[in-house]
Amino acid sequence: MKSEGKAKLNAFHAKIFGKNKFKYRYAFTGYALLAPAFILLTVFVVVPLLIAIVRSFFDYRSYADVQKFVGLDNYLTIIRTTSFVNSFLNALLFAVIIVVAQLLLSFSFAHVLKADKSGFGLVTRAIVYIPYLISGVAASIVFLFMTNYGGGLINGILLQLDMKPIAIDMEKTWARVFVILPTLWLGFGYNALVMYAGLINIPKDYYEAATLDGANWWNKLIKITVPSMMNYFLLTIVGLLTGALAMFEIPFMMTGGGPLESTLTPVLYLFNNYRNVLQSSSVTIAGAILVMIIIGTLNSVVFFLVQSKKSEDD
Amino acid sequence: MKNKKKLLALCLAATCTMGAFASCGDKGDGPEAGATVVSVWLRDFEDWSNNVMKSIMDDFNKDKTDGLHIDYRFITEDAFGDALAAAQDSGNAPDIYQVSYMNLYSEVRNETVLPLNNLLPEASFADLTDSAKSLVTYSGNYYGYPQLMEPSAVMYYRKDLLTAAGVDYSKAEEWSFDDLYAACAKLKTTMKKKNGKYPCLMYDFGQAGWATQGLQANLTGGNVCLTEDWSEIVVNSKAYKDLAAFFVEMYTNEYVPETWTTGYNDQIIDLCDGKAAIVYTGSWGIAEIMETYGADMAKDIGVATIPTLNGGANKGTTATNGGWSLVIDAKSKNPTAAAKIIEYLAAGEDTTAPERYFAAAHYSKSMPRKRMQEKLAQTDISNVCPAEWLTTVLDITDKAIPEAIFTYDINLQTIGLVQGITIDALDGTSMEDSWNSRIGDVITEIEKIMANNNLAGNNPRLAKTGAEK
Repeated sequence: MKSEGKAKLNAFHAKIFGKNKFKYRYAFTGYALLAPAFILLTVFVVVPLLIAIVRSFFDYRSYADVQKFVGLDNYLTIIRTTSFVNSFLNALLFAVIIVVAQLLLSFSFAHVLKADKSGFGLVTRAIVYIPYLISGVAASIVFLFMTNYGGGLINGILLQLDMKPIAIDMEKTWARVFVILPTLWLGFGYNALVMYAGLINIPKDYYEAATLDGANWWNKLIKITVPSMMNYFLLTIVGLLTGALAMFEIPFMMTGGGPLESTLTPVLYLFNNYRNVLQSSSVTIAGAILVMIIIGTLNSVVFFLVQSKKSEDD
Repeated sequence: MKNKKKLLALCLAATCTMGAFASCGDKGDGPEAGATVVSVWLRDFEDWSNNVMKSIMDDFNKDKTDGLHIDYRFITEDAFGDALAAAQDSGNAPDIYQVSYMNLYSEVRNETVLPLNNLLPEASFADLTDSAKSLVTYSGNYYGYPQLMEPSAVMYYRKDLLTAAGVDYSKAEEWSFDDLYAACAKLKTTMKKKNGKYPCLMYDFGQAGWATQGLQANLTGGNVCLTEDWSEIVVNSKAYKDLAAFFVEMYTNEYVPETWTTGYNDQIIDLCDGKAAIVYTGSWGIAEIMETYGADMAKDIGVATIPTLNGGANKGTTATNGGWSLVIDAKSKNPTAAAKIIEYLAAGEDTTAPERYFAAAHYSKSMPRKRMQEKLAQTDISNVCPAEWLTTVLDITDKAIPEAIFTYDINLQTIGLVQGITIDALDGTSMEDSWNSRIGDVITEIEKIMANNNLAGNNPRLAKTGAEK
């Protein structure tokens, strides 16, 4: 009886996968391993996303018997909102600065870690990774203490030197600096370790051969290191870009989006707008879907550009 | 191995038992057989507030003969909106919940709350003050019953610090902007920036969008950004120039810090800690003083109406009324029973329960009912809070207006104008030049927001009833 069942299962698998036993032998295990992620993603991501997309086309009211279809009105409302558009420009500025700064810093620091032969490398790696474990809220509190106008670490020193303290709620430049700094601090350790992993994976033979051919450090960097690191750059850029465009906790805690919306990000705007008593919550949902689409599109562009480059190298 | 399993089982059992006890702790006594259970969701506020509300509801549940039982839950402010939306979407909404006056219209617009006109006795509404009625009335219907009101702007000052700087505070209640400037100029000699001290903490720009609405109404003669019917923008006016000039004077003279870590809601802490001699915050500051710092500190603190352009004994509106109302969910299975609970908590003939709450709040919240206010006037409250504080807060509440419910972006644009002019002034630009360079863009933006949200002439607070149409 048991063997009959097994035979039927094998026949079923053979029907689906052809007669290649290797393909279906492990199929059940594969499905079983895939199932938890598939179920969780479906329940907590795919279904809510589909519901949100549907709701964004309605003037949704939870107790209404019939929901009013409004087409693209919610999208048009949010697109016509200047603050929302400005928040995107801010996010793009943050994204450019953070991606460039983080790439340069982490790539450089990864070289330092690779070159370190003193035995402190492990300790250093652990230390630089610690900020990544801290939440954005906690990091913001640390920086708020430092910039406390009444005598935080930075302003306390400035006051004792009879210099003007930094007012992050009144100076756009400083506000932006103190949104970017905690973000860089938090992500630096993780990105440096990713770069470090990439660097140590490049075969030494390449460099030895290049040295024999008379290549200098610049040639090695451009012709060997950078092309070999393309996938690591891709991972880092996509992560940083997504993080910067979806930034919320740090501007929320540090500046509240001010002064004069100079640190307002799209997610922070949507958070503030969600309880606009005169607007349907569907407008905010439409805004959130727009944010998702824009982040997805930008990441696709990055994938396309970086992959293309790699293809050329290949 | 066996022992490990036993230990694990014991840990699990202990955790489950503790969890069960923890959840019971918030629910109070169980209902009597056959009782109608009314679920009530309240905000998780300060400990004293939660404790007194729990005690009031537990006392109700002790009566096992009334056929009613309150099943209450306290939910943090951050989680409340999401929890309620999820409960309403899944058909598990509470019968009664707390809504701020600011957000009540959202509930009315979405038809998630019932009008209370036919559920509560007419006498309950007749007993409300006019300002309380205006907070919960839309199209002639009462959609919530006011539980408490909190004027958003009150001036608190440290008598000892003012005396040390040679400031006469005996007429602080009548102070104008000029009086405040003069007091701050003297205070600058004792409250030194280098020591992290400032003469004053007033509105911070993060909160000024709502916190200054009372002052805006005072300067404009009753309007906030728009005319009452939302047909016209009033920002391009002398009133708003006066508002900007007030901020410029306070900031450029360093009477206030350019930025401050403590937010507007908690500035009373800095007053009590001696970091500022004068602070603006809502009436809730009284509860903070009495609960955290006690009567000894209260002796050194004075409470007054905020300074206005011209000052004087009768300043008119200087604050908005914030606070909370109790509403009945539109899909409540027991609206009549829910109404009985609202009567017990806030609206009934017997005012014992709400009076207990206000006493526990050290009268930092204003009573929305005339009868309770009259009774309070005959009561000696000196052991709860200084009587003159209460007189001041009640006066401010009576003259306060409801918070504006138009799209908040309009407030942000308006206060952004004031902030921009203040920043320009700190950089050395004259106020006139800054005003002229900014006002056009701000008006254009507000017009855009109004068009985008179809606001012009559509203030729902002025919407007519079916009969009036």
